[in-house]
Amino acid sequence: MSGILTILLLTIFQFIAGFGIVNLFNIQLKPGLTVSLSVLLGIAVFSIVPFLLQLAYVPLTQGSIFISLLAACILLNLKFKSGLARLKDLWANARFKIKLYEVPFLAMVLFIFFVSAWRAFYFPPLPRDATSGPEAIAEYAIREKTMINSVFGVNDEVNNNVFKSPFIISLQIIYKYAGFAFGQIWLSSVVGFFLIFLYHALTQTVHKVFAGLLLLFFIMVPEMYAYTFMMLYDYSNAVFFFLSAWFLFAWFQNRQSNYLGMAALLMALATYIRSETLILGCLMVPCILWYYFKNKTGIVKGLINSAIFIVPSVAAYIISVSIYINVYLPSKYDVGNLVNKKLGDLSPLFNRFSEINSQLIFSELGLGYYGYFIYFFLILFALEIVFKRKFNSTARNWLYAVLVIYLGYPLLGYLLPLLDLNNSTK
Amino acid sequence: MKKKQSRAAKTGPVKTSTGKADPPQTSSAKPTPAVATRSAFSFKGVILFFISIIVVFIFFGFERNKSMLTDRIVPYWDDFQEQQDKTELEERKVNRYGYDYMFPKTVANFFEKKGIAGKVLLLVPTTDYFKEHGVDIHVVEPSVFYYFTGLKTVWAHSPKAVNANWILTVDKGQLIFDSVTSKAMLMQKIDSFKKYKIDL
Repeated sequence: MSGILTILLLTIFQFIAGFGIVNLFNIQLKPGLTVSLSVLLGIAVFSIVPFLLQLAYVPLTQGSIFISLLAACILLNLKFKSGLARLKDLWANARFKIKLYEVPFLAMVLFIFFVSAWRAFYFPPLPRDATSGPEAIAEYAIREKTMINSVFGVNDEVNNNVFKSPFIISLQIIYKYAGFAFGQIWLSSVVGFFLIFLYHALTQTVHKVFAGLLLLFFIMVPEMYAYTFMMLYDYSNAVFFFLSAWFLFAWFQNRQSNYLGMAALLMALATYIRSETLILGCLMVPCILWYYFKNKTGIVKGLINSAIFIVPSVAAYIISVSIYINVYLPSKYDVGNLVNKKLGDLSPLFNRFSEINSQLIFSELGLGYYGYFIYFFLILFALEIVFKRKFNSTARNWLYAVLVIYLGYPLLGYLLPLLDLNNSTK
Repeated sequence: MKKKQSRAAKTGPVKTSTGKADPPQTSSAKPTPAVATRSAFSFKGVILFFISIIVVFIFFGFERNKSMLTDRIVPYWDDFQEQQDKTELEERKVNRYGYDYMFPKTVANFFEKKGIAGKVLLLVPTTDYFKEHGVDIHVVEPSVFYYFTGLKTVWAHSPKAVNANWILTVDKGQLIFDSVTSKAMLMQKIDSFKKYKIDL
């Protein structure tokens, strides 16, 4: 029971921290979206605090970490009065009413989510990517009060997991100090609050019955479902990438620069979680430039806003990779060595693209990984083409985002040969 | 046309106490009276409820979805019912990692009993060596070994192998622990272990 109370307490503080950011950016959303976004942002804030302490060489004790988290919550809510007014607004608009026809889908999603959350809580982290890297570092950070600890040097020659983002390490340290021996339950918070966000976002566009079906489809994607209780970077990375795209496309509609700022922040968080995301972030930039070109609103302005969107991600990359790995960590890791040396030869790019289609997506293996999700998407896509024959601007934007992943993944494999069809690590 | 107007009313810009107009797609709109007074058990709602149930059944009628539910999610639920009362940490680790965890614990236990675990760098052969010598186990890599036990191990393929002060071998299915007594002995073991490939 104390575990549930601890999760609740941590979630409340994550909400406070994240709500502070939402308020600072003056983002106006419906209550379901605001609450879920706030908690997700709060989790991201929590994942940065121990890392910042490490950068300042502050010992990672229970006291230093929880005081710093409290300080972060306070600092992010310095605009206390407007925050309170927004909170009152939120409360006034909140309706916790579920319609009868939402129940079958939501009950199934809740059931599937519950067993995932239980596994995340009950079992220790399993993937070798975690136990040979971030989880081991977090465990020894508790004992040695630093992320730069005795795990480094044990077998760096066959293992690059120790060089991965401090995102998981930081959250593991916090949750272990909070009393969860295996940490990892933060992942269920990411999953749960993302599902809430996704459902509310979907209901803005489609009927709740269809939104429920889409949510069920999504949680039942076998590969994604595994990542809801297997502690790795992928799920959180996907969440923040999606949120960034969502805010970017909202900005295309409302032209409020705070939405662009939020999109930029979220892409920076996605890059902090997985540094390769910087490339995907860059692939989103043409979308901004095209928007300005199409609307004839000035290509210079388009370039400036593109810079606003991508610079925070570049900064996240520089801090978490270039500075942290090269300046702080005792073992050397040459990221440049991982980049394809024969960039002029494009055949690996086409080969990878072909392999992704033939082996990863449209194959028996693909069905095992993604279930019917991709086929369902293609059926809807075809129906739209046949019956509507025109996509609205939001649909076109999302198709572009899908294209970024569809083409971006082979591009990543071409740039970083280590990233093969099944692995992104060694 | 009427339907379109109603949708616009629900999602149109509204003023909030912060004084800013909301963007159309993302505003926190207040419900119209017609929506607020609609019963959750309206005829349309009940019809949609039955449609939802039918759709859920159809969804799980598809082979992949059905097998995902019956082969993964339901067994996970069964696990939950069994696991609720088994919350001891060590038991949970053994359940999750199996021999990958138990083998390093057995090895570390040997040195802990001697009170020298903190001073040991153990040269460990890889999985293939054990299999060839009749011990069917998977040997985790040194960093995972260290995470599980706190004992530092090294593979023969590492440049640090020359610093090992203990060696683990197998003889007639038994684990043999030898302290390094000479450089020659260590180098000979390193060479013989190098024949076996690394399996992460």
